[in-house]
Amino acid sequence: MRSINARLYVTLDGVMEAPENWVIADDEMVAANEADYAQADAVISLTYRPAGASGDDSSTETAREPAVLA
Amino acid sequence: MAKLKFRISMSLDGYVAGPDQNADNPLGRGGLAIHEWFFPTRTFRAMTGEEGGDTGVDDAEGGAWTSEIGATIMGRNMFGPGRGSWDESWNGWWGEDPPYHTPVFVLTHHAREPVEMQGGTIFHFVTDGIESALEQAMRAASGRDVLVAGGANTAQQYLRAGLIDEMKIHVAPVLLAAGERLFDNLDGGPPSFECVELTSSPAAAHFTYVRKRHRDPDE
Repeated sequence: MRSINARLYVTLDGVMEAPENWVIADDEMVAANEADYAQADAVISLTYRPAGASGDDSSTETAREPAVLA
Repeated sequence: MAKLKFRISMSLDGYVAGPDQNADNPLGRGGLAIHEWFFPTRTFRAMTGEEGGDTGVDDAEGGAWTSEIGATIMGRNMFGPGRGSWDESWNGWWGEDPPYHTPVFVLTHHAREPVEMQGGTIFHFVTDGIESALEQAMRAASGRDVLVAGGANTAQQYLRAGLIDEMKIHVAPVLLAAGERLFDNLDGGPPSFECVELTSSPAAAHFTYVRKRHRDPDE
């Protein structure tokens, strides 16, 4: 049976927000990502818009529509 | 110069003890799993008087610093399950020969005479705060480093005060979902540390941090 796998980034003290500020995508990580994607039939990418990026000042965390790459 | 060091084992979701800590279950429900990485090591077995044991990454990380530590600091809640006035028959969880082998300064609101154990461990009870405990521990260590042994509340007090120089966080690949969190109650945001080493085994990931230096330019 097929499985749903999650690849998650989190800081040592448990924060997932704004990964663009702290994830360091070195060669090893990029290779691991690509290996995961190569095995997947579909990818759901759910990210957060950086605060203020939408132009809506009241929003600090706005979930994007999931992007499904088949 | 002697340093203030801190080490602790933590679950992947950030807990250093499970919920419902009590005299029968000092680490809380599920809390033992945070420490499983350490038990098979040669270092831990030697601490408990046994021979043999694994000598890989976990042993190196678990045994690191040991010979450099001249005094230890811990909170009352790590020393025992009692609160309020002392039960003078309580001398810690660790039997007659505790694994510290140094003077140990216990932070408490209740004064008590020092208790001398076997193997070089002497428990001193400090009622006038973390700076005083640090001062006394540094004096007792006479040039060697001082270790903050835990628990979370004591670590948070020293982290908030910016007094920890180096720390090792041993992250066990277990999820507790409840209990006592390490990185909580840190008013003013996370402390400023740089990860200088990261090693791992199937049983744990070991993060070594050094406090970032903020010094006057003319120093």
